[in-house]
Amino acid sequence: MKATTPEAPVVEIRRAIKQFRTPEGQRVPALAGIDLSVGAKEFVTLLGPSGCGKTTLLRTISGFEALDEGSIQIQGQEMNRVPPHARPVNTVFQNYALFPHLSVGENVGYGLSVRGVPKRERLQRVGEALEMVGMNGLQQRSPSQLSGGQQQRVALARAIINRPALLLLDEPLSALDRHLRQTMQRELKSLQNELGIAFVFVTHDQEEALTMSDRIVVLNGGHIQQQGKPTEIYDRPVNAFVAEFIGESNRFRGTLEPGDGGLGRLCLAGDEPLVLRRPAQSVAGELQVMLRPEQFCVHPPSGDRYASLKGRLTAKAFVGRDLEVILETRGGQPIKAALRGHDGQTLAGRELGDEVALWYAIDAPHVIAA
Amino acid sequence: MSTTQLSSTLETGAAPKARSRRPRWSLIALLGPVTAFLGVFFFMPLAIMAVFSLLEPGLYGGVVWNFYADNFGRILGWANGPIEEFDPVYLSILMRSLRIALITAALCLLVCYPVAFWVSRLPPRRRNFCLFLITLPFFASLIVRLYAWVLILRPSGALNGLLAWLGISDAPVGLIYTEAAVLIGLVYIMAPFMFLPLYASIEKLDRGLIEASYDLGAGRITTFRRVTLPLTLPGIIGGSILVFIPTLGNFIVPSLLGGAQVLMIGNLIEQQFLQARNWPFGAALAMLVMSVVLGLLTLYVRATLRRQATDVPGKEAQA
Repeated sequence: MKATTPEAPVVEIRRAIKQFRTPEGQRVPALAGIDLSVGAKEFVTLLGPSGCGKTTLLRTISGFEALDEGSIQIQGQEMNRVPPHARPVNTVFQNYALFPHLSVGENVGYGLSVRGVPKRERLQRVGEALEMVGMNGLQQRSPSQLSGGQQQRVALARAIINRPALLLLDEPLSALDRHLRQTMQRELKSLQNELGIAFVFVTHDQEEALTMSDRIVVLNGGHIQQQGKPTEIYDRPVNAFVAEFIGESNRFRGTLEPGDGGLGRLCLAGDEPLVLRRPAQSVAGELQVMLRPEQFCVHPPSGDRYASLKGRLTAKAFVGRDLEVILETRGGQPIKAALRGHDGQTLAGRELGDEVALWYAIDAPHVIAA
Repeated sequence: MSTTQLSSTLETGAAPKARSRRPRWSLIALLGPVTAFLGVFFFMPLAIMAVFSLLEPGLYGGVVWNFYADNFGRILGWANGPIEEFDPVYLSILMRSLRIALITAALCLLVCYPVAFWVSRLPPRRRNFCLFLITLPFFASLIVRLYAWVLILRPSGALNGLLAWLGISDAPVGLIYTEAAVLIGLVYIMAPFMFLPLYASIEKLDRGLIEASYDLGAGRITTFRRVTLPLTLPGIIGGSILVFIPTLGNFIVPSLLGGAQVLMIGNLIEQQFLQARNWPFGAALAMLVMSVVLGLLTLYVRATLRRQATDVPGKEAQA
């Protein structure tokens, strides 16, 4: 998966600062100094909880919010004083924002008709755009006659018909049911390949972000917490927020003591130490170590170096492919594990309250800042 | 229609008796009083006026029960007898009233549209306060409010005092008893009737649609013309009808602010009933106003129905 393209970035944001005023007169930072660039054919996802600034960032790119400080360049041009209708970007809005008084065809053709594209060309391009989203032939329908998924497609067709340099998508899939959402995720991805333009996609759904993105930008409190390929973000979160927000994680807090053979021992309160490979950079004092639920197993393969954690089985639930179990260590730390295959069958046979050992590769624990 | 449906189910005995009888009785109970009230106090007087408009006026007021076509003939042109004569002045007064009503509706729209937008964007508490302010004039008597305008507009009034103080004009500007004064008064009393339906449709307008229009490359004017205006059209039409119809028949404003100079059809009707004591002619004028209003409304309803009718089959044919 390519994370960055060598070509010039289509969007370049530098030190973007934006504050909102509450009715009580307090200033709330929405963007607290964001630096971000988006490559010409990149699929970038802005991910974060509500109120993290992701929608504000998107709206500063589209021009609906002005920055207090900092600059935004699109295709090398300064955009701070350019109104939304003059920017080479288009948006797919969260609630689709289809014009209720216009037909599907007129909605899709709106961008062309306000630019004065002649009717013949307009009709042809409307047909092409609708074809791309699999909706050709429904030009005469009214938006209210369409299902949520169809409205979504029309909104997409309407946004791409102006051939923008960049397509902004503001949580476009949040109103769809799970099955449809997955279909649309695949279609969006292939549409992006077909169009060859950059997508900036806003979501609070980490699964969606992981599936679709070339690069994920995790935002919280107006700051970029981490950006990188989905695998990077998932495997090596830089802080507790990212570890918690993306996927499920077990975190252990303690102080690191050197052990033999390049190993380290994380001393936990009230528990046996957790063995791990000593991180390359020297870390001192208290730190946190993360293990993902799927990094545990019951029968460690021989040959590799594995260590174990012990605890009482307090919950188990079969969720399809995996058996999800929760252990509680002597020190009271819960450990969540997802086990499959033989491992899962083994633990499925155990009773709640039994003492169980879970194994992990000593390379697996990821050290994050405390 | 619903009563006939209900009674037909009763006759076929398809539904259990108790169930179907209850809505029928409650329907009669609910609709009965208002039907009786409107029948007695609205339809009956209207019917009397319709009949009177075709009767001969009595010499000292009242009516003589003879069919008499010259009431309408005086207005529309076929009366040329020794007693009643066609006079184009009535038609010209009607035309002036139509013009004044039209201008009033247009001015109300121009004044209220931006204000309604502004109010709809206020935070809820201030918004409700503004709505209260707009309905505030209804708490004071119409006559008192119009006399206030007389005080403002008369030659020695507040407006001329202000103009003289500012040094804009030395001689008093003769504003009162002009069509302008009548228009000012009418816009003043009619503006809330325009504002409320306008506000209702503007408040419902989804801001996201305006943003979508900008996003797709439309500037402010194009967005207004192609998104905002069509989506607030129901409010514009509703408000215009609510202003136009009462303005057309208004006689208080022209008689207080227009004097003898600006006579509207309402004044004429009032004079026929109260001063000339020619009820049949007054009734004929009133019927004429009513038929003009009904005619205009019919045209409007036809136009909207036709738009819907042309929309729907087109959609189905193409889909």
